[in-house]
Amino acid sequence: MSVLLEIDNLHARVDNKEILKGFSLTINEGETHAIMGPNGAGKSTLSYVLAGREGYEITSGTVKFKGKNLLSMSIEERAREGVFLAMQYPVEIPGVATSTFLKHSLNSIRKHQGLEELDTMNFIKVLKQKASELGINQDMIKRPINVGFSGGEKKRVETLQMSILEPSFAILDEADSGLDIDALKVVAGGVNKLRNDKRSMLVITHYQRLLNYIVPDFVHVFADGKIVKSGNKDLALELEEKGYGEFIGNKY
Amino acid sequence: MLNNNLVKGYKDNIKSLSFSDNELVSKIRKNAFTDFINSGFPKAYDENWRYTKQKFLKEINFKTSNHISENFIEPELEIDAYHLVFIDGKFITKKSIIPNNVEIKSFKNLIEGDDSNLLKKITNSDFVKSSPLALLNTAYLENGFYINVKKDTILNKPIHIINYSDTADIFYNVKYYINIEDGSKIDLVESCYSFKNISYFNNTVTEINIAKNAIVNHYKYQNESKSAYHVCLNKVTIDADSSYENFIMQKGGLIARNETVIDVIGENTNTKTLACYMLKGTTHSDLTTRVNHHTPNASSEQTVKGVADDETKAIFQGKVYVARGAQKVSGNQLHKSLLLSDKAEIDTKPELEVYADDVECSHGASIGELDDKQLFYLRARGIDEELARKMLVEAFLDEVLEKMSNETLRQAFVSVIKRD
Amino acid sequence: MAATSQTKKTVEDLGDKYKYGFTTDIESETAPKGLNEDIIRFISKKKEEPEWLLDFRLKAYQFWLGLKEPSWAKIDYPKIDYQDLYYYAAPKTKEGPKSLDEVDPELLDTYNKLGIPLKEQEALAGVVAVDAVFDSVSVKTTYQKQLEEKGIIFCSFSEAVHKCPELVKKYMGSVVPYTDNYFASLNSAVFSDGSFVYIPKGIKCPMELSTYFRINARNTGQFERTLIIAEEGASVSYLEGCTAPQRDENQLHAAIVEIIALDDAYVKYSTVQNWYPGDKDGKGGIYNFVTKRGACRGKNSKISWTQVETGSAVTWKYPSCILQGDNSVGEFYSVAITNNKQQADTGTKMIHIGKNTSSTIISKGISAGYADQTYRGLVKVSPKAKGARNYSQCDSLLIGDKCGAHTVPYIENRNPSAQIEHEATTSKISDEQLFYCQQRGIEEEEAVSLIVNGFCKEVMKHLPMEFAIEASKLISISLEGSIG
Repeated sequence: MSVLLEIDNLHARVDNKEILKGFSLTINEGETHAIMGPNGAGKSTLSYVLAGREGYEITSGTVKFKGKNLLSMSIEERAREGVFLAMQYPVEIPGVATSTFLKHSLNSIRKHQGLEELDTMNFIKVLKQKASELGINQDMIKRPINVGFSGGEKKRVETLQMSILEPSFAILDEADSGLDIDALKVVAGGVNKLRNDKRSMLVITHYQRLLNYIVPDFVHVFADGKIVKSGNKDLALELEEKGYGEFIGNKY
Repeated sequence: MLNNNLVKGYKDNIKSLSFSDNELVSKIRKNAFTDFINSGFPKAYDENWRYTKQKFLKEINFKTSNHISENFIEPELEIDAYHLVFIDGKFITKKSIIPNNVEIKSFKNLIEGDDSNLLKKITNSDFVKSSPLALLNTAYLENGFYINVKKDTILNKPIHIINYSDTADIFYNVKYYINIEDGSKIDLVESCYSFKNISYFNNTVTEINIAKNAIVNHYKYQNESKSAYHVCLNKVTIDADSSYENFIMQKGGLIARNETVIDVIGENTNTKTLACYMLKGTTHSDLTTRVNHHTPNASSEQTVKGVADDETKAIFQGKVYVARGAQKVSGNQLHKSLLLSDKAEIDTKPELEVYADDVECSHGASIGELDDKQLFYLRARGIDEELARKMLVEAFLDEVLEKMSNETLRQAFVSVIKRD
Repeated sequence: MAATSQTKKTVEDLGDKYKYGFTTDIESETAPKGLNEDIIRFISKKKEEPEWLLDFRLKAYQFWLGLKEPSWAKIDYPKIDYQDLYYYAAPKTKEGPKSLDEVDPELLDTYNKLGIPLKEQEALAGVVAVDAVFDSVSVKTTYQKQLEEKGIIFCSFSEAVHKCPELVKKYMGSVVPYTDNYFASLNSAVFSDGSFVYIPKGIKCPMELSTYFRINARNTGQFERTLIIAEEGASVSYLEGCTAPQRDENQLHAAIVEIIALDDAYVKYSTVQNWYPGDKDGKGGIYNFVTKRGACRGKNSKISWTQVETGSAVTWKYPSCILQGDNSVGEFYSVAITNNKQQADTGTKMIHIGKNTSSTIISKGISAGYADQTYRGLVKVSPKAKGARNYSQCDSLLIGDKCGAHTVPYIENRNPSAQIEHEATTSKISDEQLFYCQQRGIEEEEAVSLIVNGFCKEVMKHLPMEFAIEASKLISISLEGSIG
């Protein structure tokens, strides 16, 4: 099994405040890791730093993705290399149809991979099929992306994007927030379908609930900018039972 | 222009003013008058005067008066406050109640105290020089105040500037110059009103400089005589971490124009300009507001609502200007109005001028009539039409009033509306 | 304006930003430089015009002499020397072309480069009829025959003067009188050519009519004049496209468009304006001072303006509707993009006169680089316009911190039953939106174009299909280099 992502002693700050304080994590191909932690621990910072969002200053540490230096890549280069961030709050872009958005996205990535760009006809065919698998109706893909979507619809569309873009590494940032149990099952089902022995995932969540549906290979407790404990899926249950305080002292 | 008595009769007019024998005052007046002659009245093509034909200024043929009226009727706004009382633009010391922790000097104090530097400062600002009517105001300099609120002063009661008009066919000018130092908090209220059906011309200029970390509420009630001309210019400068809230209730006058220019020169400021108008008869009301954001990180809000009935004309011109580099400014502006009569008119020009990209600016304007369905609903519950209309108008205006942060003063304004 | 620079730059060294920046090497016939009564007589004579038209021109000229160039718009450009311009330039041919074969091949080549379906067989499945105006002269109108069968007249303005003088005489200047404004007076004095459209009673024009304007000759002012008349129950969709070669000096374009819609008539007028905008330092480019106005004279008539303005160094343009007929409808959908040192002061006027008239204004302004853009609009409801309705929305997007975006709406209401709503916003492309696109692999510049196209969607959907695709590409091209 080869290493996909290797984060080593990562330090990062926002507005001069250190958020990541020596974060290390190695993810092999095909593995699903869960990161759990209290609010404010820096979970979202981690996902933004990996995706390359501006405004985060990396003060030390390295991140290797498929053996390459991830931190030196632009946002879109990372995406094209296979990093996908399913966002906690997907962004609304008025006037840009979901299908148009995804077509631009897919073709950008295909071009980078040396594949032929899909024409509209073929793209729509793929899109429709994947959408129906996720129970997303045809009207929705014509609507401007995320504009006026419910919480559940937004998360479904994020999952749809993942299934179309087929990333090698997906970060799911609070994938269950704002979802009722039925919507959660649909999203988790979609995610699980995408799991295979090549694709890795990093599931970031505050609650254990999601991990009943997306069962991780490893669970890490994240607090004060780094991983304080790692284990298998049982660790999540233990966390649920005892709360974060047990693991990270009474600070939280 | 020369046929106008304010201009042609200038030499005679100022003879009747106080302090005519004071050398400095004469010089200040003379210089301002020369500048005024050079600039002339506001021009017909001046965008600020687009909807108020400046022609009336040239046609007014009033004189100044040295008569001091003894008639005084208490203001409609009932508030517990310090009082600065003017009758026909003349300061009446004996009717005034002055706070002791604020430096308040009437022009008489300044002139007699030989405080020439202060006098020059007050009469010679860039703002005065740039505005014809402010120049005219200085050319007729006689009454007004210099108010200085010292650092960290918190005033327990509002200062109520009461400006009552009692004499017909006169022209008067008042000037307020107000300095608010760091960390102070004050409430200013102005009432301009008359209970007589007389004609006169009130030309008031107010300059307010707000230093850092101060909070100023500045409210005004305008209910001049139905035949009066009321032209009021306000210039406000706001420095860092301060808040300024302006509210105007505009009711009376034949022509009533209120122009406010706010310069925001420090970061983290909050500016609110609120106004409502309730126009009846033949009133022409012009509210013109301009907020200039020269510095980043600020918010400004303009909310104006009003109703125009009978043969009135209501004008709102509001502008938000964001200078190059003034990032992270939010400027929002809203004007909603109801046109209640076939012969009334509402003109509005909400304007944005933006030179910085990281801003959130918006404006909205709507003009409509009272909602038929709401009217029907009230009448169906047995409320007569007149009352139903009044209730709906009050509810409509309430959206502005509820934004006022001084609750006691807000109540006083609400009572005035209800009494109508 | 002075055409001092005589540098003859060829297309190759002009860079590739402006796709339409080629010049056409055609001998053109010009009137002497400058403006006076003799020049006007010359133009009129060249066109073999009747006496009444010459009179109209001369009256306009006399009126123009007494006018001052307007200065109220928020645009800033060097003084135009009206005596340093050519007022007439025509491609030199012996006679007017009788068929396509007689059209100068160089000219045809130009139109091919522009992507105009001038040759009928090349026309997009027969949907578009084209009148091409090259410099000041209408070159060729396609599909005339098919249109004539329906009684539709679609020809050059000069042709119409001879073909149907009574219509021209009746309607010309009835919407935009020669006294209207400085540039309209100038145009009325010196207009050279343009398009004429007449749709008879009850006829729905079976295809889109299109005019392609191109300024080619150096130092030439282009003053075309378009007149569209839709009789009772008639309808037509009219497209106007504009390009000009890249030149170091500025060129003046002062056009007039007049539309008349009678009872139940519908005219849809779409423009993609892509005149040369000047280079990134603001050198060269077209001065676009245009008066466009439609009169909804009949009841239930409708005039709809859609414009995508990406070109010109300076734009001064307010396509307007006078809603005279009861229940008439006016619409204005506009996208204006200014980049580099472009300036635009554009908007509309909706004048409500008839009962139950309604108007909609949707304006999307995008300002980038060092550009300055102003939306200026007037909604006026007269005392008799009972039940008038207006909805306006003006949104501005700023890209970069050196540009400006301004909104100046005037709303004047004198009827209590009118309902008027106006909304406006100014903002930038949010960092979140950009990040989201980039995280999905989309490059920044493409992301900006995608977001801007989304921002303009409400307007773009009103463009005819083939125009919309072109316009969408144009938006991307216009914004090139605006990021970073």
